[in-house]
Amino acid sequence: MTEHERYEAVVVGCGPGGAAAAAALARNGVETLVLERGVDAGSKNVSGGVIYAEESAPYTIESLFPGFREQATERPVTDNYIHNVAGDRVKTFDIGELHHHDTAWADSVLRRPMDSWLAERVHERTRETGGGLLTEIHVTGLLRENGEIVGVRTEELAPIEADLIVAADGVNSELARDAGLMDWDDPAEWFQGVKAVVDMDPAVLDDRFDIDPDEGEAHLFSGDLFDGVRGGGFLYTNRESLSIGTVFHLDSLADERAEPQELLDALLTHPLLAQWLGEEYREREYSAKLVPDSKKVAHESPHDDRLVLVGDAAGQMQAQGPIIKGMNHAVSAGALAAEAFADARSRGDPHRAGEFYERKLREEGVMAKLRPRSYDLVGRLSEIDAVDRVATAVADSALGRLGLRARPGSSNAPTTPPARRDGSRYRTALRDAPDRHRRGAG
Amino acid sequence: MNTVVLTKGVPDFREEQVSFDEDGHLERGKTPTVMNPNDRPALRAALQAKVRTGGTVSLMSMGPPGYEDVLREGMEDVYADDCYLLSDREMGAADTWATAMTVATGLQRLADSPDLVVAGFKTADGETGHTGPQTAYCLGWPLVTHVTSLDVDAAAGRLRAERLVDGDASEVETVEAPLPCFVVADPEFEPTYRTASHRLAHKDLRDATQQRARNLEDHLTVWDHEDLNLDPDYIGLDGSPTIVAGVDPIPKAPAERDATVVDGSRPSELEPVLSELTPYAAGD
Repeated sequence: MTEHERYEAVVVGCGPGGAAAAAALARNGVETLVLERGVDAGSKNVSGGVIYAEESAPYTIESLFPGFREQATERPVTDNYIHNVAGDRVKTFDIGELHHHDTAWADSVLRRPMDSWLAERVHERTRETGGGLLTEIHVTGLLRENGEIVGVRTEELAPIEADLIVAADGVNSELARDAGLMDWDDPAEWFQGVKAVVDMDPAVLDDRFDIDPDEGEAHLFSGDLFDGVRGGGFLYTNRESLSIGTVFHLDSLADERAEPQELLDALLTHPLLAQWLGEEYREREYSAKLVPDSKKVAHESPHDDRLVLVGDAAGQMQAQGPIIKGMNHAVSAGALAAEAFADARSRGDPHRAGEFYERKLREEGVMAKLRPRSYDLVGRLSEIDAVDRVATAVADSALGRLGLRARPGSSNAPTTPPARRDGSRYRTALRDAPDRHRRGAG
Repeated sequence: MNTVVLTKGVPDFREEQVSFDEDGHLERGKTPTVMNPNDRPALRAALQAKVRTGGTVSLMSMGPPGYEDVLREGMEDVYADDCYLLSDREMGAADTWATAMTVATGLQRLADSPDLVVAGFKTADGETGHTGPQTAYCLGWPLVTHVTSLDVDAAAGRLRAERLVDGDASEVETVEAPLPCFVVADPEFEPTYRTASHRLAHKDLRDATQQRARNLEDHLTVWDHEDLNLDPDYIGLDGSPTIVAGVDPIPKAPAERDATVVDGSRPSELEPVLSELTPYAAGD
């Protein structure tokens, strides 16, 4: 038998799931090595950008990393709207209620600064346990001995053995595939996300959205903006930028032979967005990501031997209609995996961590959110309908005259004006919108 | 384990940086001084020894006070604990022998005697490659040159090194030597950190060093010939058995060959290239 370097726990990937696992392991005094592939944690990630803290969740990222909201996020999401586009009509709903259901808070994030912030703390805490965080380490697969998973192999280092291996290596998890725990290849199980980050001066941003610097908005877009491709769009306000993107069912993209970046362009150039983007804007970055649909692929038993899967690697990404929750579930799962290991270890049988982890995912309600039973009955058809039922319509306007959508007394008067707004904010009309979008104006 | 790296400031010979007068002579005043590029592998070897076996790394250089920038750069590179600059007018214009005498005395003057001294292959200005070996000779230590990989066993008081035989990259031998030992790192030297614990130790050192390099003065010791108790007759220009009689600029080789530019994206343009080359491939 070869002598390998040993750590009690190896965490692969330092996104929110890996960071949560590492922090909770360190809190339990577990010697934890974290291996991150990127030059900087977060450099490989492209998340769209809102992290939720659910009231019912066993852990939130703030509970594991005090100061997270203060230092690592962009803006709290204080207002939520969905814009349903039908032909040249736009129906705008305030979905604050839906959003606030079970939500302690929700903040927009940019993954690069957020993950760097996390990585710094993860390194500090795991270093105290005798481990630490290493970047630019590509974990290529599992280390097996007599057919049993005992550690990881990497490109840069000699094989490493551990009692616990946390695969938080994302949607293309090489470890999950190596273990035979990931076999999604049906496009119906995936979403394709495409996102652009558009720079915006904070003062201009505050003015255009009529918000204070400590407020933020989330806008969702649905309907026929996208030539019949099933999916939607989003816009989140960051401190000094906007994250704008689209998320589509991959099978629908394939059926319609649509190019995701063209659909994103369709959203960016849509008259609906001109009120916020203005006449000129600068795209800072552009990125794409495959997202698993947890309803179909969240693994019921995401472990094998000493390996546990966390976050996207386990398909733990919940698309709740247009609201996408991934990071919060990854955080819960990561911390529960750590808890499971601490329990198993204190029982003198650390290798039962996987079994305990599976039980915790179920008992703490994480699995029920990822794979709701009702989904089987309701199906994806009702995703938007469900929103319609809980949302309050605030405006029903002609496309291109969204500028009037919330002004009381206009011909397209909202059924329920949002309480905390005055009409003055919507003075920005769509100067550049084609004329056809102006017809029917109130 | 205590390791010392020898380094030297040299003119920055990179284009745009270096300045020559009309006769083709180097203009020192107009050319910035940088760390000798060949010293980097020596720094890497010393850092690897420190990461793997712990202990300290010191930098030592002989030169004018302006070398401090070179030492700061070296300190950041090798995560050095401290720096020694051997500097006064009496040491000026030394040849390799007088330099070796001075540096060997400096090394012996250190409070904690070194177990390992590492030097670079040769300097970019003198190009002799003599100073390292002569310093080892002055110390009476074993010398291992052209080292491409190094494994120090401090507890056993030995090192094992792979070296290029006669500087030939195709022939490598593995040698062992007792400590203390003098090692000349080949430009081919590549440190390896194949364990997570080594990489973590490396990261710890980096974090600790950044602050130190910013406050170089607190970690710098300057010694003149009196501190080292050296007779001026044996160092500097007076102590140099060799002198540089003159420097002849080497004219640039004229570009005599004709070049034809081919658009590689067009397969049709590549065909004549292929037919030109075919006879050579056939051995004609």
